[in-house]
Amino acid sequence: MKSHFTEKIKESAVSVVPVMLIVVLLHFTLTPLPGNQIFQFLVGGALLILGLSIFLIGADIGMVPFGQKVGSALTHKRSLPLILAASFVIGFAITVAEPDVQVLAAQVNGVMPSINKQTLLMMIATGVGLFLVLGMLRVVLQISLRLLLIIFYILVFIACAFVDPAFVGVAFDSGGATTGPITVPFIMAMGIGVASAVKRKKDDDNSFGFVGLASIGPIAAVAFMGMVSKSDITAAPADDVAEASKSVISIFTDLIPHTSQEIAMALLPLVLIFLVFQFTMLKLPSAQVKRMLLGFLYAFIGLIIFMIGVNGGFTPIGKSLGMSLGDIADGMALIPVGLVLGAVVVCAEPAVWVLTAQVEEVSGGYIRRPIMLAALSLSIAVAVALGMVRVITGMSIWYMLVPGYALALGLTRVCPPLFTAIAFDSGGVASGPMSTTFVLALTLGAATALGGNPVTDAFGMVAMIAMAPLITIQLLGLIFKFMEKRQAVKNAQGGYSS
Amino acid sequence: MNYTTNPAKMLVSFVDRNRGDMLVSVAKAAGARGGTIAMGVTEADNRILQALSLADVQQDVVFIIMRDETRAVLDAVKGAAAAAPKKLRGRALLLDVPQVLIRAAGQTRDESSQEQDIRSSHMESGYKLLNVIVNSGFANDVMAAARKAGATGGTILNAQGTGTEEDVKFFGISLVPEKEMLMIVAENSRVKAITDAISQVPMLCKPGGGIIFNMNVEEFLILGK
Repeated sequence: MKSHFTEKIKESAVSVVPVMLIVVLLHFTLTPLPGNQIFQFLVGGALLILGLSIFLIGADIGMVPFGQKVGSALTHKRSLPLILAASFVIGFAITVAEPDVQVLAAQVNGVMPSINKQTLLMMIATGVGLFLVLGMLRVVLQISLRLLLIIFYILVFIACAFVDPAFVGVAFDSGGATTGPITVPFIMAMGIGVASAVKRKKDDDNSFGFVGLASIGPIAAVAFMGMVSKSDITAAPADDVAEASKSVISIFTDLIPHTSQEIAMALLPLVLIFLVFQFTMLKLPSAQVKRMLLGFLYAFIGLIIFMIGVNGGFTPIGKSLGMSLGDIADGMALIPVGLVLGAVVVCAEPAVWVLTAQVEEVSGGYIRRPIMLAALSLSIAVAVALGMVRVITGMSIWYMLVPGYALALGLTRVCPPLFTAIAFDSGGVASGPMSTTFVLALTLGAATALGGNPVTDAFGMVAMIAMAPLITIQLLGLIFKFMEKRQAVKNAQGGYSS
Repeated sequence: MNYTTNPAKMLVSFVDRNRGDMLVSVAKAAGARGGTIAMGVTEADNRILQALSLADVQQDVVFIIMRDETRAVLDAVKGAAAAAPKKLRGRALLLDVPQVLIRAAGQTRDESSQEQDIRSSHMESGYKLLNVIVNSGFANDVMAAARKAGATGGTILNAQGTGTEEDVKFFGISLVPEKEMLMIVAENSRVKAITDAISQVPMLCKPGGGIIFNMNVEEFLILGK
């Protein structure tokens, strides 16, 4: 029998090795990396595989079952005020501590100094809390997800029209960036828990959509802040480039204290919520408690290893790679490389594995993981390539976001609701730590080499990555719908169906 | 409405995740009309991994109802497992089904012709299938108790209860209790001890905590390696 751990190592290796192969190939052909950077990158890759496997086991036995228990326990309490208050507090608490959000707030502050970092942090966390409340209300009051998505995205776009265009990319980036590897599995599982407590109906879309709604919160918050603040965009201070003098080992070991602290911060609210729920509502037997706490521990250790691998090995190399590629043929090499890297990088996102597993589980094996991964891969490939086109041409992000979201929202009309919900969740899921570090670093490097404004050109890449799955997953839904119809016709003509 | 029911057999197979399709297609090639795949979780038989909560293994649980094609399907499944022992591996059980109603379009065969043949073949493999249905989250506890009493393994399926559906409404939506169903195969000699041990689990001491029911296994197959 294949045990959990060997299975996860295999999955993680399959998802990280392609990224490594492409970079190694580039190293030996187009863009030789200076010094021992390629070695540094390979060490990072090995850490990524190990960290990802440990994290995924932790998510499987810790965050996911806990989220499901919280969702179903809250619903079974049948008290609307309690449900709403609890989901707001949960959404607020897990967001305010998320390291990605802190980084984002600092970035925004760098671009628009008039926006206070703390205020923005509070606004984003409030945004996530409110939209989580909306997610709960939607299930209880049976409001269609489609309607909510259309209303709120239109409101967001209206708000963005009054904001400096350079700021729009930052706002949409924030939607993808805030839903990190700890919050996503938990929020997703909470939604599934709520749905599992409710009697199933045909065309069930209750299980998903929570992450999709929660991603709107930060976009709305940032856009709102941009609207009320004075427009005073300045170029962000350039990040420090990796120091070449350090030995490869110390590059990684130096990251340990800071990374551990960040991840502990992000996980802490979840552990506190666990304790509160365990003593008030859940009262799980001790074997279950032990299992979940072990799960949190694995997720913690796994994520530390993963982030050290990413920050030590992938981000600096991403930046060098972007700069060298930007110098080749006026940056034209960026487009094909972006296409290929985009296709493989999404499979290394931790939350993608959690989402595809949950989709397989909830759909009873109807929507298989390889199909979901293929659709995601395709969408991120196109997203990164288009993002690179933007870097090269410097075109406004509006030309990508408006048609993209119009198409995504239009598709909700014809796409089966379950797929719409999964699609909007995928947006938050695909824009995880790999895109916010590695791909973003690559883009920043390219923008610097091409002499554009890194802030306006490169930001928006995450927004593209968060947008693309909304379209492809819904298209996948249409294909499923079509196939189902054909199957139904076949069954009616004769044969057996259970 | 007029209908006839017939005796049949059910093949319940536990195979690796995503291998259920393969099993169903093998069975179909041998004459079975279809199958239903559920997703289950079992635990690897390794004390250290279990203590670290690392022993979970994802499984497909496949249910296939068969009538006169029973023998052919069993042989085909055995053959396929022998040919690809690494792909198709796990356990398979044959259960007796006294009555089955299948409505299939375009049915042409004579429903009663083979009835005698199936009914006469009552077999005894020396194993029982223990099914335990408990509130969600407690199947692991039940499994731990069963293991102490000599069970070697079991598979957990997620399920929803329907018993009290009428009573529990909340803003017009019906709330349903979440359940877990645990399936354990055990030798006849151990069934009593395991059932006793399970019935002592705190969850099952309360009224409405859960149910246990045993079924006779007519044939017990070990597939692959």
